[in-house]
Amino acid sequence: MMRDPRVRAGLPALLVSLTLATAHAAPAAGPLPPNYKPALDTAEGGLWRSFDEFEKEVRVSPLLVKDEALNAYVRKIVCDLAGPHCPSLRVYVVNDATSNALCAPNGMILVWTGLLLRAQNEAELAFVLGHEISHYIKRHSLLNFERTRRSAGFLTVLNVATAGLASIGTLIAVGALASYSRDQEREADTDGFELAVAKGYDPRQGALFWENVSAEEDANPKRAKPSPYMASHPATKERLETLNKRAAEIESQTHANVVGADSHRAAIRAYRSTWMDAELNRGEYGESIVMIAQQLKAEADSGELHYFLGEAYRRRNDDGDLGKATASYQAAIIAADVPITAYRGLGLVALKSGQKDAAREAFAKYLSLAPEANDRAMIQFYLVGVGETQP
Amino acid sequence: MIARVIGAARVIGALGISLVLISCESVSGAGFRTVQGGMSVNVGNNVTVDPQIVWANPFGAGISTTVWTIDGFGLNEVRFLMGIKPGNPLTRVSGVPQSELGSYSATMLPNDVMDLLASTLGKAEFQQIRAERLRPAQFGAVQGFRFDLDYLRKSGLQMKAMVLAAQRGETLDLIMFSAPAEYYFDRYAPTVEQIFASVQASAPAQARAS
Repeated sequence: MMRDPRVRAGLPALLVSLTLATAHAAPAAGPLPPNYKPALDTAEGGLWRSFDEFEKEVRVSPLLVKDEALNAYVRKIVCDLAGPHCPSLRVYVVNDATSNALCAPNGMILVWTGLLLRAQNEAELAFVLGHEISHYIKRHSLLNFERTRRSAGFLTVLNVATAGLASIGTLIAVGALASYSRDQEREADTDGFELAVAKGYDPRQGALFWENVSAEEDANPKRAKPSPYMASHPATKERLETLNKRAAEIESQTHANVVGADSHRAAIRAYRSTWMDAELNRGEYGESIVMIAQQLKAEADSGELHYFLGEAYRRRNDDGDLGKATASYQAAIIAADVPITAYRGLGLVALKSGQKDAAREAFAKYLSLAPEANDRAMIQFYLVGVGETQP
Repeated sequence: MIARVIGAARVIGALGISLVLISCESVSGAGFRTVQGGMSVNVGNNVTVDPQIVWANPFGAGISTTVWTIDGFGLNEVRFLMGIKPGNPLTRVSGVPQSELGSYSATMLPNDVMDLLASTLGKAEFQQIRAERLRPAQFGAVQGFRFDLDYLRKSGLQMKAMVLAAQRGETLDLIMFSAPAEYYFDRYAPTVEQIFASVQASAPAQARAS
């Protein structure tokens, strides 16, 4: 489970019910059997019931992406990985630019769109989901709940129970109960890896995903706290070495080589532009630039990706960024899938750089291609500013 | 008992979310006073407006931004972010270090200001932020610009906002009205249009001082 440290301070008051429901708690043992339902008068039953209540709110949240095809895509990966546990798992796609995923102890799986945007292929997504499913199968949340419940920390947690119950973000706060130990993370890494490889996924993709996310984090030295993803899943040298070593072993033994780049792109195609907008609105441009540049390695001719790379540089506007933005927009406008807004971007950068002729040309092109653009009046205003008499 | 606790948590949670953008570290000792329509009210940086109707205006130690509300923080509110100097963020965001917020620059275009506000809202963990309809507009006698926003709060509440801004001298003045998209935004938008039209801006404070 990936925790969001920004909301850890606020835990839902329903956790109060956990203390009541778990008065007769007994420690859990062993992995979950398929189709398992805990007895209600056990600690596990109380934990499940609380998450069931949460799930009722999740189901009606406006933050969910309801698109059946997208949900079916993620659900199929989950079911393939989970095998006999599939009937016990329910997938929800959360419209949130943060890179995150979790599998609650009751079988509710949340996948953030920021993760779907970052995963470059089906295999990368499968390794992350396999990791989360492994936490579920091994009952790590319950073990942590038992441990936390016995500590003074749980009382502290209850005392600050102030978060809005309707917030999906609050669910992550519940994750504070499941602050997985290093050993549990290792176990989920190993088990998730084996689940994904057993389904034929290219074993190298697991470490690649962690490396890419780690590179994003490194690109943002200003960040005071690690991202939610990295807070709970540090891409430590040990983790990467272990995954790479196991991948090398597997490669020599099997022919697991499913990457699924095309299937992943097809699944998210209708949403990628919207998710990229949301990504930029996080205001973490260094991270966005690294992430988009990584994706361009596999899609060098994507006008959409070049455009958003230009947007990230333009919006960051550090020394030299306007030049990089111009180069990115120019790469976008020669692509087959050029977004019309790339011309607007070119115009804005030219205007800021004092290149009036270039600004005039780019803005005029933008308006000719998008005569009904909702910012037409502003672009016309800019055009007057660069000497256009009849914008 | 449990239901009551949960109910209280909802209220407190909603308040916490609404406070997230308030540029104050603490609201202890805060109170509310009213501002009346039909009069000229200074909202900062030598800008005055006519409130048109009665608004509640929170004040107190730590509150440095002028906010007018109808139903409380975060609900049907007009926020005046006035005299923002280069190198400063548009506002503080609760729980986010200032170093992680984007900052204003006098060389920004209106597009840049719109993007900066969108990313500032993003830092406040609002979701599905969409800024659009950027257009020139009068800010009193000064050339300014306007744009519209919609976004979801973390709770899932759909919000709409309208912004009037102007870059005057080295500083930025930005007035933002936000309200739940359902019913409340449309109810108060005409009043806010009148407030926008009533803006009178004399020389920015910083420019006059220099």
